[in-house]
Amino acid sequence: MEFFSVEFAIFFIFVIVALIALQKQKFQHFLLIIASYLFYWSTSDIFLVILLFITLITFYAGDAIHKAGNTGRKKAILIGVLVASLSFLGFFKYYNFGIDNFNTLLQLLNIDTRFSFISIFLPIGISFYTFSGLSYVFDIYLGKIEPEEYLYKYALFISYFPHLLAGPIVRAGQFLPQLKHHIVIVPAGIKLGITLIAWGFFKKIVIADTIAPIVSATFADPQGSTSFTIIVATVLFGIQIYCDFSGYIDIALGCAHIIGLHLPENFNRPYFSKSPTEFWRRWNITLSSFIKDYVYIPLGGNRKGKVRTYVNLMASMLLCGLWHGAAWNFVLWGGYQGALLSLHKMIHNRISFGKRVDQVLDTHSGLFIKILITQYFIFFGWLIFRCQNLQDMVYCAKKYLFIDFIFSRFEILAIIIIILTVVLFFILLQNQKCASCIVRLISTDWITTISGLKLSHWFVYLWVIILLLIMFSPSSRPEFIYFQF
Amino acid sequence: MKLSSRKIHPAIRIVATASFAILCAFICYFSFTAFFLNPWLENNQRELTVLNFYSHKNTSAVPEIFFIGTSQMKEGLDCYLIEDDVRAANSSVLCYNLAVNADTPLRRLTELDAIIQARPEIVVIGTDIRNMYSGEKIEESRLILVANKINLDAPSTELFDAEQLGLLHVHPLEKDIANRVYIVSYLNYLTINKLAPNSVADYEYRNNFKNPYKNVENASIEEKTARADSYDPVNDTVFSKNYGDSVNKLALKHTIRELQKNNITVIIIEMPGDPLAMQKISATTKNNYFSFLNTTGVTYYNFQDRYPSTYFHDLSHMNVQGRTSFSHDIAQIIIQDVEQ
Repeated sequence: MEFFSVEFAIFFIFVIVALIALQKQKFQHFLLIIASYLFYWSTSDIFLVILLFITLITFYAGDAIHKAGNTGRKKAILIGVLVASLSFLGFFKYYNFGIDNFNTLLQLLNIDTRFSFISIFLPIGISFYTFSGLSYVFDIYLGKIEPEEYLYKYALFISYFPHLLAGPIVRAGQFLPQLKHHIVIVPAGIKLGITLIAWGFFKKIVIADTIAPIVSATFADPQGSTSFTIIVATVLFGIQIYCDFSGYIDIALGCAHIIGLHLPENFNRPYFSKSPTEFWRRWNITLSSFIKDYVYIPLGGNRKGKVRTYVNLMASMLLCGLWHGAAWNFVLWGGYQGALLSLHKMIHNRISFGKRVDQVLDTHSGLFIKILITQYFIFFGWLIFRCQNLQDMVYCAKKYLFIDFIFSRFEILAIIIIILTVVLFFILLQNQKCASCIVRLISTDWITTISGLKLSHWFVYLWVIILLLIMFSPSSRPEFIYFQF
Repeated sequence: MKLSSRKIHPAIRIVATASFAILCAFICYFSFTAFFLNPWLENNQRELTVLNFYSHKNTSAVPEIFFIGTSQMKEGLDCYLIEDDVRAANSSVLCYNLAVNADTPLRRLTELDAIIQARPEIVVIGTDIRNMYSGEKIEESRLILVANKINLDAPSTELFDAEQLGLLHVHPLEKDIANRVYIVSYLNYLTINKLAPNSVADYEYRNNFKNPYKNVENASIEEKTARADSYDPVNDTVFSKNYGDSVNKLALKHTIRELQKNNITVIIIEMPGDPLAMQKISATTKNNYFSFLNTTGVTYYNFQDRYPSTYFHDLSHMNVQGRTSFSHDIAQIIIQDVEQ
């Protein structure tokens, strides 16, 4: 069952009506559990048992850790549940990758033995619900939360259908307290939810899915492409992956707002970040905070000296890369992000370009320059992320970093327009009024603003979005990119 | 309490507003397709312009020749040159290049009835060996485009699968929704194409039935060699399943049979290909293919290996030089046929 389908619309309306009809809080929770399991079964069939297994093992492990008398026992249970949960994730996600690399190693050592691959279907959302379950266990271990008394409430936390397939990774501390109250569907929640869902569909279908074929065509065979083509495809991929993932998150958040059980935000205008550190505070927020809280800080964070900080950052981001998928380009991407973060930490507040330059960098124009420089490096990361093999990656990286200055007439026209736009932007930023207007435009929470409009104005928003959805939805719709993670 | 003073629950008002927005969006979309998109498609989508040509063509005292085939024919044939050559031989014909990009004998069955109704003297079919192997899958949007505008006879109907037949008979509203895939082309036509003609898509040829080509830069020999290397070899041992009973083969035979039944002369031209690409086709495959063409019972002319690589701007399509030579050569065949 896809989000963008008549089946899901019927399913969702039925859930909402049933939630309104049910008076008892417990019945509402049971209804949502049944609905969530049905939803997961419709996408992942028999893999429902893995969801059930992760739910049971993390619930009872959390309880056992809480009851364990000493730290050693707590640690032993924690390691046990980690091994059990991650072995599932590891098997489904990394088995063939491991075998492939092991075979390559054997080949290098001139050993004839080869291990065969097995055909594995990756259960959708396994990384997300496994991490949600583990966060619950970690938080109990760290003494941040008390274990949940009722299994059904915990099961709802893990399986809650809006976040089940591609996040956000919800923490028990954010979700479980909401279950103490009766679920009330309020008009403001419905309006905000519909506003978000419409916007999410727009980002996914109109922007991401329209861009997808252009990006795929370039990265399927980039050899021979000019710098212009590679850079355009990389920028488009950056837009595609943002609109695809944040589109899903908006739909999930929208559904959650309507139901009244809220989910955490996962994106906060990441492409306006002024540094790599800020980018990771704004991109896939729930994953990066998971990695920070449960990997980076336990490794020592920045408390054990400079070198150790960089090592910790590198290790955390390599893990983040590997979480995205079983391929070396994801590992490389993680390593690259780790290096970027370390480099930023290294130079931040240590390098001064002189008082005047520093003053300029603190102005609106300076911030714009910082954003452009940061995004240049962030998008280079997307290039690493998207390339299909090392040979293509090397070729594309060369073309991205060392411009070949081969342009068609049309491309020259496009470049002139881009340069003029940037210059115009700089000129506008010199004017205090314009600058604050631009900042206000960027920082406004448009979704909340639109959902707060009176119905006649809100109608126009919905009408335009739906019209664009009908007009520009491609005939074939690729799955959400993050389903594969 | 008075009915009018009752307040509607805010949640119901929100849901009603959302439903009304959906309804209005659909009404706007269907109005847009009815007033803008569909008329544009009728004039700018080759599958439709060709169909419209057949149905609106006036009868002529001068013998008419229809050239049908793929983009190889579309880009390779200049009807003005042929008409001039025929005129020079003291004859007179009217030639029309009605080829469609990526066409296949199967898809062309959607035009068969219209061609017969247009009553040409001769139909020249440009065939291509690769065309017979593949092309059973036809893009959904191309079938939907001509849906409910065509007549299929019983044997033709049997050659399409159930899904394809479903697409050829979709509900008009569903057809309008499916035609949204052309909106980007429509917007290109109105914007980028106006600023830089021929830069994005060759809209100019779509209504051109005489010399419908777009001048393209010639690919270098290195580019062509690299491209040819990436081609799968065409070999009967590999493709025998497709080749044996391919629907395209049956569709071609049916087309010929129906045209002949209606006293229309059929000529088959095996289209020229770049020698670099032709090397990929095994000799056995070629022999089997020409044996098949023999079974059609019509005269065929083999131009497959006729021209050098310099006559092609890519591996399949001829450049100005190739187009000129090919058109003159075809004119000789036409003169010969008209004389007979």
